[in-house]
Formats: sequence, C-alpha cells, structure tokens
Amino acid sequence: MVASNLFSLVGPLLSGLAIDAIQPGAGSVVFEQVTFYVSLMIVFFILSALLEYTMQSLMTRLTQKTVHRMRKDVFNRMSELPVGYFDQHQIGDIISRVTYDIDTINQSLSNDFIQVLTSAITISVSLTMMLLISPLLTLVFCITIPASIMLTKYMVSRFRPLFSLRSEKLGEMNGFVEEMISGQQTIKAYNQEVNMINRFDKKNSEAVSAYYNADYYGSMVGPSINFINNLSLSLVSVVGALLFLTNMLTLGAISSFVLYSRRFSGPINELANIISELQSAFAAAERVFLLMDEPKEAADVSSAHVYADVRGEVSMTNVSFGYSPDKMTIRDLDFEAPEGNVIAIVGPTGAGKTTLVNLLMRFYDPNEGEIELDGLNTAEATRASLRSSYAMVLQDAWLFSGTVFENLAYGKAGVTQKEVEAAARAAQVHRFIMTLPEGYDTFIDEEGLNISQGQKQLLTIARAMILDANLLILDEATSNVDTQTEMKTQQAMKKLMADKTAFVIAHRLSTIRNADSILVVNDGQIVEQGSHDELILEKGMYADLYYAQFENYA
Amino acid sequence: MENIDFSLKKGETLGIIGATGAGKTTLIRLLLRLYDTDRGSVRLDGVNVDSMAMEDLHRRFGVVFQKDFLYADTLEENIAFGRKLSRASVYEASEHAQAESFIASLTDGMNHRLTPKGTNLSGGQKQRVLLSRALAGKPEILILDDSSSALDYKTDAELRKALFESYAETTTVMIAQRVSSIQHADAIMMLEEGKIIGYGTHEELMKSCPKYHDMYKNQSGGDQIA
Repeated sequence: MVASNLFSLVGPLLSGLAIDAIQPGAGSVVFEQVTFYVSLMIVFFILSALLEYTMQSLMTRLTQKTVHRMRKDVFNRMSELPVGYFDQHQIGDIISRVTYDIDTINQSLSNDFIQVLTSAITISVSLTMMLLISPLLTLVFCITIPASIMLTKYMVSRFRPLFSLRSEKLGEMNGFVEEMISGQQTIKAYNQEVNMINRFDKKNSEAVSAYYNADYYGSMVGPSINFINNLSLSLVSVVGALLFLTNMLTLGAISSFVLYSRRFSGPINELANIISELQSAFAAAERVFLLMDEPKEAADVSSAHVYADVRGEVSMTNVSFGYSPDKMTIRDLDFEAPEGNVIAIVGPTGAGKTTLVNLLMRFYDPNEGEIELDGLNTAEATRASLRSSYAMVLQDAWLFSGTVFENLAYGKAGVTQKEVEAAARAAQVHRFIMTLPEGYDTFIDEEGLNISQGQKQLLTIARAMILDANLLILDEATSNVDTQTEMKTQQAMKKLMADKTAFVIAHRLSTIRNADSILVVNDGQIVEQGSHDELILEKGMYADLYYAQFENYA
Repeated sequence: MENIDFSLKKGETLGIIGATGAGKTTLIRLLLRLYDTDRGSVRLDGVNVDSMAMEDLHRRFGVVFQKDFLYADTLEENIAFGRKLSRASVYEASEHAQAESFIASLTDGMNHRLTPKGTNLSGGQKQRVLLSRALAGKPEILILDDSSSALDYKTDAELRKALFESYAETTTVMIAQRVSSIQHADAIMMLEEGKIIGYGTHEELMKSCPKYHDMYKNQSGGDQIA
C-alpha cells in the first residue's frame, strides 16, 4: 500500500520535470526527455493502480473476517450472560447491536481504514516534496493547517454524542417494533392501531432526527475544511507567482508544487470527512462492546467441585434472594429434600415458586444462605456440572429447529439412536414419531408445526429421560391436552420420576397428594411443610388452597 | 371449524373447553372479526358483525388473549392501553382482576414501569394485569382466552366470584384448560378438531359427553401419578 501510494506520488515530480523540458519554447523542446518522463509517469500510475486494487481486496477480506469474528464473539458472549440480562433488555435492541452496529463498524473499517493510511502517507510525502521544492511557499500551510485542525477538533467534539444517540435511538425503535409485532392481535382488538402508529412515528422521528443531526453536523466538516484548503491554494498561487517573477522558482517547480499541494489538501479534506464517519463507527462499537463487557455469570470459584453421579440430596438453609436488592422475593428459606423424594411446590402465583427453581439451577445466586446438593454448597461447584445433574421439563415445551432426533438428544453428547428410541418408547411418544413423514429424521421448526401441545410435552419428557439425571424439575402443565394424551403424560412423568429427587411445581391434586413432602410457598417463604394429610390437619394455608379447589369439584 | 352454532343472551357466560388445536382461539377470532367466516354469520344484538365498523365492534369487547402482550411502560398505561379511561376505572378494574394487592405492594404502585414484554412480572401477575386491561373498558362482552391458567385455584376462584358479582351484565366467553374454571358457566361448549362435541351445562355434559366426563375426572385428581 505504501508502494502504491508512493508510485502515484512520483507523478507530480515527473510532470514538473516534463514541463521544464518543454519550457525552453517552440523548437527547443527536448522531446526525448518529455517522452521519457511521461512514459515513466504512466508506468508508475499503472503500478500504483494495481497495488491499490490488491490492497482494496485484501482489506475487504480482512474486514469481513473481523466482522465475522465480532458477530461470533458477541453471540458467544450472549450465551454466557445470566438469564437476568434477557429479562431486562429488549430483544430488538440486542438484535440491532448484532446487525446494524456491527455493520456500521464494518463499513467504516473497509472504507475509512485504508483511506486514513493512504492519506497519512500522501500528506507526509507531499509535504516533504513541497519542502524540497520551496520551503518558502510551504510556509503558507503553516497558517491554514492549524486552522483546519482546530476547526475539525471543535466540530468533532460537538457532534460525537449525536452519533451515539443515533445508534441508541435506532436500537430503541427496533425494540419497539419487536414488542408491537408480538402484540398485533391485542392492538387490533382494542382499536389501538392509531395509537401504536403514533407511538411508532414518535420513535421513528426520534431515530430519523438523531440520524439527521449526526449526519448534518458530520457533513459540515468537509465543506468547511475544503474552504480553508481552497484558500491555501489561492495563497500558494499568489506567493508562487511572486517567486516566479523574482526568478526564484521555475514554472515546472511551481506546477509540481501546486499539484502536490492539491494532493496534500485532498486527504486533509477527506480525513475530516472520515473523522465524522468514524464517529458513527465509534458510537456503534461502543454499543457492541457494552454488550461484550456485560458481566457474565460470575465465574465458578477456583478449584470448584464437579458433580458427577449425584445422589440427589438437596437442602436450602437460610436462603434469601431478590431480583433487585431492594425487594426480596424469598426470605430465610429452609428445607430439606432427601434422596429420591418427590417435593411438591404449591402456592399462589407470584409466591416465588419459579424463583425457587431459578435458585436450584443457579440461574441466579441467593443473596444470603446456602443451597446444598449431596452435602456440598452448590456455590462451590461448577454451574455446568450442577445444571447437568438436573433434568427439567417446563410448561412451555421448548423445541428448536432441527430433527426430532436432535431435539431429543439435545443436552447429552453421543447419544445413540437406540437410546433415543428407548426413551421415546418410555415416554409413549415413539409411535407418534413413527407416524411423522421421516420418523426421527423429520424436521420440526421452532413452533413445532403440526405437533400438538401434548406431543411436545411428551417429547420434552423423553428428552429429560435421555439425560438420565438424578434430579428433576417439573413444572406441571395445566391440562391443555386431550384426556388421552394427559394420561400418557402422567404415566410418562411417573416413570421419569422413579428413584429420583423431583421438584414439582404442582397443579394437579393427585401429584400433590402423593408427594413425599409439600412445600407451601407464600410471599417468598415456606409457610407450611409436610405431607398432604399432615397439612390438612394443620388447617392452614394449604387446607385453604385445597378446599378452594375442592369446592369446585364437590 | 365446521358448523358451529351457539347463542348467548346478555349477561350469560359461555365456557369453552377442548384440547389445544380444537379451535377455541379460532372461535374468538371470528367473534372479533380478526378473521371472517367462510360460511355462516356472527351476530351481535342481531346485527351481522360484517356490517359493523371494526372500531365500533371492538369497542364492545374486552379481551385477554392467550400469551397476550404487555409493553415497556407503566402499569397504569398498560391497563388503560391508550383508551381515555379515568384513573378510577383503572383502579377498579385492577381490584376486580385480583391485581390490586400485588400492585399495592410495589413501591411505585400503578406507576411501576414494566420491562419489555412485562418480564419483571410473574406469569400470574401478568395475567391479572391483562385481565385489568380487559375489564377497565367496562365491556359489554368479555373474552378470556386461557387467561387464568397461571393463577392458582384460590385466586382463580376469587376472580370468578368478582366477575360474577360485578360484571353480571357482561356477557362472557371464557376459554379454559381447567374444567373448574368454567364449570359454573351458563353453558359449556366442548370442542374437538373444530367441531362441537358437547354443549350444555356442567351437569348435562357430565351425563351426555363422555370426553367431558373423562376430562373432569382426570383433572379432579382421580388418577394417581406419583
């Protein structure tokens, strides 16, 4: 690249020499010299063009690699973030960072980076040449350059925040769109189309005006600097003319000088433009790096214990936890779950049932107290080994785009077709899978098209069976399945729970009645603990809840 | 959906039950004209919904959809939802929807800001805010699509009591997963694969519709699973 630039910078020197060879006047033009200098010029220009082309394509490849790497890093980081991050940020805004912001950086890298380098070389070479030709004439720039620098600096400081605002507003708008798409049906049913369009308009206008402001001030730099450059050119002409008249410079030298000074001021002009473009890249990079610097889940403690073959004895001692420090969801919680027990968790909504699960799996860590598994504080074990000791079946059966086999084998490496089939049989979903067009190789999409809620649940039960973990967390689904599937689900769950320590967020009375122990959670505390019969006798909250339901069936 | 026939009088409650994919949600979409029927007609006070302005039609309804949405704004704004409702009616609705106690426990109360999609609320809290939204417009017709599934039995029962007492004039269509949520309805419709396989009161269906009977037995805990 340096060479490419240098080659093209030899041009003015040669053209000056050529002009001097012409200068003696008609008849005495030294044609050989002129031809020589001109062909040399052409050769240098061709070389320079070739090198520039190579440089450009190298750079494109380089920036694509960088962008690829950046997206990868951002995506990887997302999987390391705690669950809480996604509870608190708009998905649309996160997507905007991965797409728009990284793209902005990419553009700036591929265009501006080369330009900055070539400009720097052009400026220094031109300056050297100008000094060689005429130090006196170069003095002109001692006035105009500092003026350009100061002006650029001042302007950048003014519009830098505008570019940050631009990225931020765009992210906000994307977040809003994402929210509204999910609420389409509701918006229609409540006649809120106009209201939401107005809200969007506001977001859109904000984004546009942020964009406009940033670009408006950004684009003012170029012309301002250009004006100063032109000013310097006129000064050069005036001073140059004086020098020529006093015979201090040849016409060729002046011509070379003017060409160099154009070369010189061109990049300065461009640099000023680039600086404004770089601002948008910086603003975008800031957002991307903010996401990258988001604290990951706290690292596991050094020499953390790795759980393997757990027995499944769980206890919580004095556990307190709140999603925000000022509001505790769980206070001073104590309980013990001996190996192989079924623990039913019941209580009103918002009492902290889901939070309990989040703590067991260490999606969140308690603010106070200890959670032990097999007599070992879980905080002193690796999260990965803790989590893989559990199998989870949640209400919202989660399937991803992939084959049935992939969906079932998910979570355990190196599972054979045989194991998967055995689990599917145990979960009573094998026959259903065989009715699919390609059996276990049938591709299902995220939404699990053509697969009923009940079948989805059976699939996730089969998935949990394959994991063969000694600890289970079941969020018992309310019966949004037909009776037949419901029976199957119950049988499959029964099989799944055999010999395992199971925590069941229970809705079904039969589950609760047959649990070894029932935890009645209210307001973040276990208000009652015991078997069904014991709790009925206590005539407390459990008895209330029980009868509230029982009344309906009486 | 095929050959669906039913009629409701003002103030009556219809419960709809059936497995996922039976057509429950489709039915309410037809009521709201989010889709048009291919054959047959939907009438409100004897007027075909096709001939009503969409806005007038929707204004008469209060709806909670399955997996309905909340957005990043205050609780009050989420309940009022752009309609020019008085503060009093927002508070009153939240009381009936059993949301008052948890809202009161928040430091900012009604001004509590939700995160996008209301992720800072639990499933049950979300449903109660959505119910408040539906009730706040004092609708003639209330449509609840599986909107109490995350409520425990006790809150669910209290909600039904509040609806019964304070919205006696409101015609209600309630889709539920649990028989207990709808068994006191004036009429219950059981759907399967887009067709009505049972229609009547709880007592009638227990006798006439074996699938309804099974579902009831199953849910009331006749089967032991653990």
